[in-house]
Amino acid sequence: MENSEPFDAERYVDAASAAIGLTIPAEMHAGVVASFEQIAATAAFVMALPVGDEIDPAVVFRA
Amino acid sequence: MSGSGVTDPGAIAPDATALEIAAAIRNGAISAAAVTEQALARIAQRDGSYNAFTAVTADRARSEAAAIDAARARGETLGPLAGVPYAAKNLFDIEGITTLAGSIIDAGNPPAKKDSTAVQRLHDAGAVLVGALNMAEYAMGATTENPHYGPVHNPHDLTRSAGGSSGGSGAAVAGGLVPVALGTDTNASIRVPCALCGVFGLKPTYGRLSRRGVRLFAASFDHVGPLARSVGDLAAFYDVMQGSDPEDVACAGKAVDLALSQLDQPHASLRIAVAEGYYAPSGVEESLAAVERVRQALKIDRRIEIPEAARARAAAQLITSAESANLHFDSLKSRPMDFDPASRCRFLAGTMIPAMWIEQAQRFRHWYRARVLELFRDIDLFIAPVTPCLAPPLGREHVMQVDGVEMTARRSLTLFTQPLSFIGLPIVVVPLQNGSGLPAGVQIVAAPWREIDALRIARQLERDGIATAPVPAFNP
Repeated sequence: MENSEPFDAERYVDAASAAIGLTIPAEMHAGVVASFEQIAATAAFVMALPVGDEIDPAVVFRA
Repeated sequence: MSGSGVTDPGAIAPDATALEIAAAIRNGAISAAAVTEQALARIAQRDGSYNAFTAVTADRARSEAAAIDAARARGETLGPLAGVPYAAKNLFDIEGITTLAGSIIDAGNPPAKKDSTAVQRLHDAGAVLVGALNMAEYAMGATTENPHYGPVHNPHDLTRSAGGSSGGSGAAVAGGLVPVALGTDTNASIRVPCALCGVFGLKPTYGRLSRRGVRLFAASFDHVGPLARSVGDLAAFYDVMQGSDPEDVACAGKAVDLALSQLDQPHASLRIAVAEGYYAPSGVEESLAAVERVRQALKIDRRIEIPEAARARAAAQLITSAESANLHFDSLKSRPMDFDPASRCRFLAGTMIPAMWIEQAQRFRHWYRARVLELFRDIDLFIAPVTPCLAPPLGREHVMQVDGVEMTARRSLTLFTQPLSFIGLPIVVVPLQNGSGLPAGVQIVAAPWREIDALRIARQLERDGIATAPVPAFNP
């Protein structure tokens, strides 16, 4: 996640929760934002390694 | 390798192994009914201190035991585990009781209509189910400080954690309540309780054992496996649970590879390495001391580094968060306050992870698998610590420094396990005792589908007295 602006986890959480119909109880709001900040940092670390277009996702499905 | 067994006519010792019990029942030294009553009495006497059980299935156990004794009286051939008491983490479906998965949300569900595949196969082999075991809510958490059903206490020190999420499974086996228990492992959940409670455990290859009838946590990584006080018992339970199952899409349908009969057979020498780099940080000396004891015992001189292990852990965390949040989305919307306060914010945050990140994590998973499999061209196995610390205290955060980075024990317990289950490698945990009174665990990691290699080395360490799982004195 190489944004030109710092990632605003609170703004993202408020928008994304509205989009998926999730009401976050007020007393959990700060905790959810903090958790999402951790997730975003974790994702940035994963996204930083290019793996090549030839690599498929490792999902399990059999028709 | 074996416990005190059947010491007196009609009595089993708390450290008797499953194979000893099965043999004693088969040869008529004791009845299955007597074994069951002694197991139930031991649970009644001791579990108030451990809090390992959330349900004791006494009626079912007595009925299963009676059927074994009747079959023997008729001269029938008994199953390989006939009369052996065991218990299952409470996310395995058990016919007639509600599958809790450590939650109060699921406590309102109707009782399971039939056994999970694992429990069904153990029943068919003659094993006697004595109860369901406490766990971290929805398998999220490595310390099993369950807010609804109470914390599980470590039999080696009741003030300390038994690990998690299969904490009840670890404590029940370590405390001598059952010789074997079933657990599940998504990122750590069989291996951490084994290490902290000082028992053996097997997390098989991803896709080896059916998860049908098991409440999932993160389907990409969920595994079923046994915890036991001997390698033979691990192999015996593993053998019975093998086989394809069309009702679990992840079950690979591999040919059954019976382990128990191969444990002591001559075999080609195995090339073993010690994992270093990510697996040997500063600040985890007690865990590394256990690895060193195993290294010396096995005369290992090869060393490897697992490429991108930290990133593998990160990717596993992302996928776990997204899959588990999706699974519980309805409850997260309708009753978020009923989730464990320690994990509900993480569950809620997991509902909002962009697909972009998950797809990348799943693609990285394939990339990483290929890199790690390259290592297995030159080795058959490697060893690594299980946890960065010994059993942490219950009820408060235990803060530690790992490579100079401050982290809580709660967050760091999966440090060494998560990069390996991420690609489904088969792993046996061997327990080592030390002077502190708290055990440590070592992971013996094999190539995919080579459980037998890890089990054979575990057996060697057990035979040589390096890896042991003694039942500690009961001091309520």
